[in-house]
Amino acid sequence: MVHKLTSVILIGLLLQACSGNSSSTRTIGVEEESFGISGRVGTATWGSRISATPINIEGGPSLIENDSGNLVYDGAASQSSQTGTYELTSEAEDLSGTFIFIANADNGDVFYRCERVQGCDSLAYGSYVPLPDDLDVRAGVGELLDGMTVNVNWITDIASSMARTVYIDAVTNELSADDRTDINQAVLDDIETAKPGVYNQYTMELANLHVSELFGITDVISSAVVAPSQITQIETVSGDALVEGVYYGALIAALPFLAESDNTDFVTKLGEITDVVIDHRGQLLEKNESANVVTKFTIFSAASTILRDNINYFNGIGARVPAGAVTALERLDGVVASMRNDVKTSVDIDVPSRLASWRTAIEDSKFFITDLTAAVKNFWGYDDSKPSFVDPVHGRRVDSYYLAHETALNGVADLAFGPTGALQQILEGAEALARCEFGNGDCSTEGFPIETDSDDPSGLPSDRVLIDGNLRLVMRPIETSDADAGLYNVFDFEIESADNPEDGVEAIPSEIKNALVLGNGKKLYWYTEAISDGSITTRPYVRVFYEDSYASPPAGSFLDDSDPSHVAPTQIAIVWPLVRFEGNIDGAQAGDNGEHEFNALVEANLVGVKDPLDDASQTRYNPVTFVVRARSTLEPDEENRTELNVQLRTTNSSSYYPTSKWPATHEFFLGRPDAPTEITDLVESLYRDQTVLSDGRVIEYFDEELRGRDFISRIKLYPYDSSTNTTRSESCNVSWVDVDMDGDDERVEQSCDTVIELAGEVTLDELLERNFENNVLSRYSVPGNGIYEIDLSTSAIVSGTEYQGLREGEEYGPFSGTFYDDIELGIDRLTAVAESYLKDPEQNALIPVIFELALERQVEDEFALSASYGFGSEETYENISNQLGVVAGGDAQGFYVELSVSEEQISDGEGGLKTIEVERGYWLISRSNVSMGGTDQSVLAQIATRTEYTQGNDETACGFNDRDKLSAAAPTDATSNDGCEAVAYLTVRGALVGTIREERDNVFVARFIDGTWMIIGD
Amino acid sequence: MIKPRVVAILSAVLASTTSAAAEQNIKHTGNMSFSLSAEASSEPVPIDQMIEGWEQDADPGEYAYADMSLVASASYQNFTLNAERRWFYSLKFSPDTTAVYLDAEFGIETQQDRDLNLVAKVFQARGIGGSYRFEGENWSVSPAFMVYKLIHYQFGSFVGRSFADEGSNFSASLSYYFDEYRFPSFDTLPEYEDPQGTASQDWFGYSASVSGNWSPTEELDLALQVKDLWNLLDMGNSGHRSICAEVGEVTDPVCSSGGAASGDDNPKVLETSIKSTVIANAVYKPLDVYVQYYWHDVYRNLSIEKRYPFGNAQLGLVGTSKRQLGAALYWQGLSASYIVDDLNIKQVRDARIGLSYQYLW
Repeated sequence: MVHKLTSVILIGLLLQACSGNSSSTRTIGVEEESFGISGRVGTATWGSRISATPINIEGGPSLIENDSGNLVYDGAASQSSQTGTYELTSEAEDLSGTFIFIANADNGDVFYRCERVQGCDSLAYGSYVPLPDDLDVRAGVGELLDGMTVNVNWITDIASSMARTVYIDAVTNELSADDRTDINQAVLDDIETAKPGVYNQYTMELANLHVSELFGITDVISSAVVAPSQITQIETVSGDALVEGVYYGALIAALPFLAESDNTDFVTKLGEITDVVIDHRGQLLEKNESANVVTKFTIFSAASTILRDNINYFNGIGARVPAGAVTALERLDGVVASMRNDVKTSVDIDVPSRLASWRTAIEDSKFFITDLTAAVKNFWGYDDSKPSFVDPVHGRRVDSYYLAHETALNGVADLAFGPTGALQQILEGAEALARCEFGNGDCSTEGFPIETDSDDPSGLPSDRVLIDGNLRLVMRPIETSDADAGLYNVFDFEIESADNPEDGVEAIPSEIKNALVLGNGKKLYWYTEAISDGSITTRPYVRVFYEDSYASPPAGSFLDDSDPSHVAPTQIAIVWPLVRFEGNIDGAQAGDNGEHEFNALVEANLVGVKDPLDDASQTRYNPVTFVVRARSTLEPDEENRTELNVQLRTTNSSSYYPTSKWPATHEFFLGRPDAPTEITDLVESLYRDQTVLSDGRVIEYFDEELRGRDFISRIKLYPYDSSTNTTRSESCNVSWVDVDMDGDDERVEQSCDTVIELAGEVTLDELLERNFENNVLSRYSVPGNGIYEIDLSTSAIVSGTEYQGLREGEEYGPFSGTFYDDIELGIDRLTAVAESYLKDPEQNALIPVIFELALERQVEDEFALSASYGFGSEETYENISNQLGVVAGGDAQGFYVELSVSEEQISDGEGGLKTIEVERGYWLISRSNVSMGGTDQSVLAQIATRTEYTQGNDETACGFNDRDKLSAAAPTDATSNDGCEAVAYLTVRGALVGTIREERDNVFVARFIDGTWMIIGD
Repeated sequence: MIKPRVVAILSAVLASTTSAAAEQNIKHTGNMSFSLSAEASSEPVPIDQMIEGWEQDADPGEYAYADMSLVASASYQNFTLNAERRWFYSLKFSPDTTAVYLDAEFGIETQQDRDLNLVAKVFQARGIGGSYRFEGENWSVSPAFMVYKLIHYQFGSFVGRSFADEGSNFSASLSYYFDEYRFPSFDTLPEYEDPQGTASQDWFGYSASVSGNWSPTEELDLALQVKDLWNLLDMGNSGHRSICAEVGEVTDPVCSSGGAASGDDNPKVLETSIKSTVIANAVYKPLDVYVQYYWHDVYRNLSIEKRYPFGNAQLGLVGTSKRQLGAALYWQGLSASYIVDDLNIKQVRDARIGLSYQYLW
């Protein structure tokens, strides 16, 4: 299970110990409700939006939609002033949190102050130079503190990029060609590849340390920044801080200078330097002969030049240049002078010592994953020697309890729905009423005495039948298209008990309206109850719909036969309001057996389907919607109880031809097994022409005549309307009519609907060609059968694979269709909740087991799924119950799962876009009695997943959805998403600690930030 | 587990170092020589399988060893300058290793629990160094020093236990130092990931050797060479992976993995050394008989060669305590030898091959 689960890749894990030494709650005083952060963007970047953005569960900055509907970075936001400074007020709850500070141009134009005495981009020294619109400069802070200074500039951005980079197989080793010959090419392909990873507290802090050391700055985040043009103005810092501030400011000012020197822009140059640092694993070449290589030398030389020019300038105008500025220049020059050709910097951070405080969290998460893997594999505790999600004793008890329920319900179901059961009798009674035709037909059906219901407002005679002496079925016409003629197309069959039910009914409460005695003497009682459409129904009914209108339902409607002369309803609605009956539960564990009261409500809406290619085919029914609610209670104390609530809405219910007349669960997600492989002359003709309206407008149209369809389908295209920049399109039904009575049929429009305004100017040729390219012209859905493809290249429409078009006034076809794909009965929306409360004899408390499932299809092949499961003692609920959304207690085990499938468009790397499938999963897991550090602890985990892939037919399965379709081949290059990109990000106590990937087929590896890893599963 | 097939240091040609016996009595001011020499021995499987991957008919054994070098040297008077390319391969393991390996690789069930210990030292290096010959009337001593730049390396220790049950059942703990891309992943382990990218990428070795000659009589020459008498291989902050794995039914694991396998990819400092190699030679000139004793750790080989005139060359016939037979040819400055234990190259377990040329001036 975990194998499969993790195969769609887990994205986040929040692990939180809930007892023992688990307290990680921060206590914040009332006076600390908000706190301030300040800093500087660049040396003086003016007008940038600056936000302190929290890290989301995928390890990236969180985005939110602003008032204008645009996505912007979440978190406290402000705007940088003309001097580059900014101030933010953050919420107290953000204190100690991990944040990424992002400066961008979301608020409009952004400028930097020119620090070069010679001017910048033809603008004068000290003036403001525009920065590109795609500016995005960041700084990562592992732990946000009150009053903190956070610089955001290109140097902190490099640290931020490093913090989000993971190196897998990224060693170059400077392999010679000779060395490479004996290395597997696939390994080589993966070498030297740094991949985008996630932000987390640890990597941010480490990267900040690293880049600080790389540039010789105490702390790139908090060190003061003194712009070269401001060295004579500064009074806030002095001494060493001034020296470092000037040194840092000169380095920050170097990037625009370097960009200008290379005739490029700030963002491009920053990207170039970042790439170099990432490629060199956090190092820079000290110096290189080539002018095209970014080196530490070039950066420091530029900084030194800018600072020297400023010092000379101020000296020239007689301003007092602080000694610290000269010292800073000497420091920069010292670095420049010490650079060696073709030698890389060797910045090294003592990682293990930085990790000390993370050990416990990492070990906890490792243990949790191990425990969870074992428990999920043995979810229901069938192997009681291994860890399980459900306590084995409780699992077996629930098993036997449900089995006993199933036995009891099967007995009732046979009586109600079996071959001689109540439903069959109702159908036979309905048939008797139909034949009687309200007294106008044959009313002598044996065993089904016909009566007249005196309460019938329409006053129709012979509208009731007495079944088996205790059940009455009343037939009422409901909807009519011609009231005067007394013709109806909808009829109800209401069910009610006989006037004087048998003994025992007296004991039934007064709200009971009806009772049906089953064959074994048991009675079904139904109650006044609101049904799913909100109306109150006092008794059950079956509503039948016909395509045509009749005075009474056509005879044969309710026979389970395949006689094509019998008219079958096109739709059947069944409403059984709350039904109550008694049943004995036997075979469960001691204490759980006994007389139970069952309550059930069933509603179903069925649609009839015929095979359009076979007039003699039987009408069969698919569910459109289905609602069932059931509850059983152990009498008399009503303690043990089980409840089930299922609601279902299907897809393709009107076009899937099922294998049996009545719905069954096995019909779902299957194609029709006996669908023909070829349909002769499926498309009888394709035709295009034009017609001229009375106002002179020329209408182009295209007709498709399909076998088995009553009408020809026509698409009409009106002339382009330049005033609205649209082209109007209509779809119409057309039939052959001999208008002139000359013996020749003509195409005559019968009706038109579905008006679509197409954007821009569209011609019929364009529309048809587009349809051809999207296979709309060659694939046809044949209800009851499947999707069939025709070969257009057998006509002049297509030559080879090239679309040639249709000539006006010429009929093309017929074309035979070859089976292409199934039409399957699917699920549009399904919710199911099953709850059981079983009494714990020792604690005299009820132990709930709750399972909730919701599945919603958004569009074809995209859906959202959520499921939750809880088990635990009702008396020992803890906070985690609320967090999970399902009950969980001291012995609780619970989970909540969400999975959504969607599509996103990303760059294909060649200037275009491509569509990838994205699956996002989210888990909340509660585990109790997990032994950590020698003590049993309850653990609440939060896991989210994200998987990206393109569908294909290669060998790699990816994601939950479409695993059978497999994903496309391995990525064609490092940045492509052709393959399966699925990464899990593990978070411990709010900070990400690692990732999980399916690194090999079915081998799932959790990697932790301290460099350790584990393979999940066996 | 250190998979033999990944060890690619044994290439096509193996050679011996018997040229020490090819003493020249004529005084020259210098010489240039090129030599290829290899000494290889594998107990469990033929050398070919040690390179390509073991097959299921492996024998129990305790070591696999190979030391091959390509040397170019130039001497002037008593100074010699050497440039070397060296391939060194040493696996030492407990006798049960073969059974455990077969269990892990082929699922061949073991009838009893078995313990495994394995130590691997493998490297490829380029070296440069020199020696100086101190000599007397009938003796000489030549200390030599080499500095190596390692190209690839794998150093590791492995402790494991295989359990008698159906299928593969074993527990293993591995500590492995390597230059990254060489790490064997067995198609199941994660690719190596240097977490911070801090593994060193320059690795050096230093080795001091000494050789000496003594001719106690006119008829007898004795020579002794101790290679790597002192040596240090300094990998700095080396790529390193530790692994704990538990596969199948494990009752008494050697470590706790918390799952199928867990590991640590943090680089670790590695300074290590290899065992010295002792090569002793004796020549009894009246009979043209040459005796050599080769000793590296547990590998020992005694060989006897008898040389015969062959035109204006010499032909040597060689037999060794490793049941090897072979021939050697000496002609002017050129010598070649091929000594193996099986005529079928794919079945050779012990091999000594040499090819050298020396030009004197």
